[in-house]
Amino acid sequence: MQEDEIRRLLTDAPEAGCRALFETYWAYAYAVVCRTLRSACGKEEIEECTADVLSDVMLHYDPARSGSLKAYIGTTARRRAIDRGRALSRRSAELSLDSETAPDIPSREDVAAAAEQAELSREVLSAVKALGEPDASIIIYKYYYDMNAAQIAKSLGMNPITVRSRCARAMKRLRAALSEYE
Amino acid sequence: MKKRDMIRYLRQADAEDIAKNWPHPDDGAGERIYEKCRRSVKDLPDPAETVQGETEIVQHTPVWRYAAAAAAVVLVVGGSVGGISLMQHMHSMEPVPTAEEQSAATVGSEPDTQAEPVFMEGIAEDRAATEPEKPQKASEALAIVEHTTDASEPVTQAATDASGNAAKSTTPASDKPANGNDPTEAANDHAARMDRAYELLMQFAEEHEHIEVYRTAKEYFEAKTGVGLKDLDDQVLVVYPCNYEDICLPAIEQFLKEKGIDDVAATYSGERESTRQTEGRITLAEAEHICRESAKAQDAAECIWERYEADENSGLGEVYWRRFYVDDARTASIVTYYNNGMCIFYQAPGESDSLNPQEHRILTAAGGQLGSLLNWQRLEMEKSDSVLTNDQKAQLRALEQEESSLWCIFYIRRRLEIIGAMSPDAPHLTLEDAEYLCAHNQTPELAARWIRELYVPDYGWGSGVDGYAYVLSDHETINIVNGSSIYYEDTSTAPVTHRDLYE
Repeated sequence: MQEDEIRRLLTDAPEAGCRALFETYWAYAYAVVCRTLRSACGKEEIEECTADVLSDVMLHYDPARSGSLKAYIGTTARRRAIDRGRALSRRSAELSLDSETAPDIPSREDVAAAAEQAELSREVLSAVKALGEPDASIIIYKYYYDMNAAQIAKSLGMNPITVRSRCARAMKRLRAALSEYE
Repeated sequence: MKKRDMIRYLRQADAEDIAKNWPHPDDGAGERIYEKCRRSVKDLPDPAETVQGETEIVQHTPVWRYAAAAAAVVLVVGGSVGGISLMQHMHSMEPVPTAEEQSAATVGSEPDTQAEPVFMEGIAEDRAATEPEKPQKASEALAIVEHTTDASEPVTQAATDASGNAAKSTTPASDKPANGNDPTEAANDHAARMDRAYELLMQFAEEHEHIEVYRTAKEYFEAKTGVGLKDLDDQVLVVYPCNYEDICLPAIEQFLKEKGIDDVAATYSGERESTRQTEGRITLAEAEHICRESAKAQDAAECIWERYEADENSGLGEVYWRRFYVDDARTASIVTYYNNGMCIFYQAPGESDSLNPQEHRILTAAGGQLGSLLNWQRLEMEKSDSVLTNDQKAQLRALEQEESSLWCIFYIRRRLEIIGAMSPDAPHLTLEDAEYLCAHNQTPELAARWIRELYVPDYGWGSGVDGYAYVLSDHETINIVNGSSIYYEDTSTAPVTHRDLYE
């Protein structure tokens, strides 16, 4: 569903609008939260944080005067995730979110490096897409969502051993595809 | 590219792209997330319940999502009431915007409380009724904890008696009842000493004007009671001062040692580094407090800025972007709506004298400016995409993924630069505004700094980049501030760059 339509629904029929919002963006919110928190905590925490994000958005987003809904959700998700990460780091003391969040918030001096990194991320993702399915999904599930072979196999209806072997081969192909960046 | 690098870049890939192409395989995650939402709001319907509503969605949507959506209605409505109220006062002070301003400043526009749907009525009361009553004192908070945790769980008692002598130990609460074996009295005694320790810290903070102590006290009591201290006392300040590590913590340690609370002092010492790494945000209540305590709006803003600049380690509060990270859930909308953290456009109800209308207008204009630029550049993107070169498109796509980083002015500037223009309709700091600021600041440097801070988004003219040269938006003039002087040049004769002026 298009963002404008969701905004209209949120105004005219909030119930339906919220349904649409949830369905359309929960995966996005999850991905944003996962990106920040995956190395800091487990799936439960990520889901908890995603729930907080969606609640926040539903609580605070006003379609009559807000900007992009997607951007709002992204911002809220990122901040919520950092918030959660900080709370976790306070407890565990060994966690640092710097490595995860730094690319999102480049300093004045690091702008060029950040832009380059974003470009490389985009290239890698493009190369992953070029692998085709199911290899691309395996790579993303494994390295972005931090799922293990058994979980991936269950999701894709494959054998875990097959997932591992395909993953290994896919990584080789990916590396070959990105050889120009050596 | 090495495998390690590939994985690193992959893990930093655009979340939107990932979610679009490879959404997380829903192994019940959606249901679980909804369940977690339900736990937050009691009135949320059971997932098994169907919700009467849009039949179109009913035909394609799992049942649990209906319930989630219905629950979201409550959240949205209640949240709108709460969120809007924050800005209502500002709204009342706003000059009536023109149609152009309204269209250009959607993101930074003011809440239209008149347009609030009728169905919102009563929702706030419903929400209030469902929310648990907040404890007002540490003893109450502790009482809650006592009821919800194992009584034999060790509890560090950091408290002093009325004479200031320490009474501390790390002992199971049940092992040291205050009077005989009555666990209730033991809990009460514990709570009383917690209160006393808290009072002592507050007293110390006031005497030494160390508002940082509030935060330390907050952390301590949060850790011990498991209850957020901001729920205990709204006056607790959680700010991150530049000198926190050098001054505040040693002072607190010394104070606690003097009071005999050595273990807590040692804890503070050990937690210095981790605290420095993990703290730095301020809550809305804290920002409000600073605003109330400040004589002028800019004083408050500078105070908050100063304190927030120190939070560099986490990447939040980065100096250049002036981004505020306000962790109160209610403020997320404010930060996003108004200026993505460049300034706090908030005025507490009943504190109308802290900002005069002119100051308020200036701040609001600056806040709306960024929102307008965001809006404008988005429109421009849509319009101009067909006429851009491939390189330009590539650059814009590279920036597109940063769209959610609304606070990141660099990317907005880059977009504007790529497109080669900036919004003609964007509200700017006017000459009158600048003159007002100059007239009401003691030194030209301070005026220049203040103008500069407000004018950061005006990068489209090439100013605001090097940090000290600024072109104001008044179309009749180019106003350049170079740190100590403000130059006005008539643009009707010839374009003047700050390079011309310097040379």
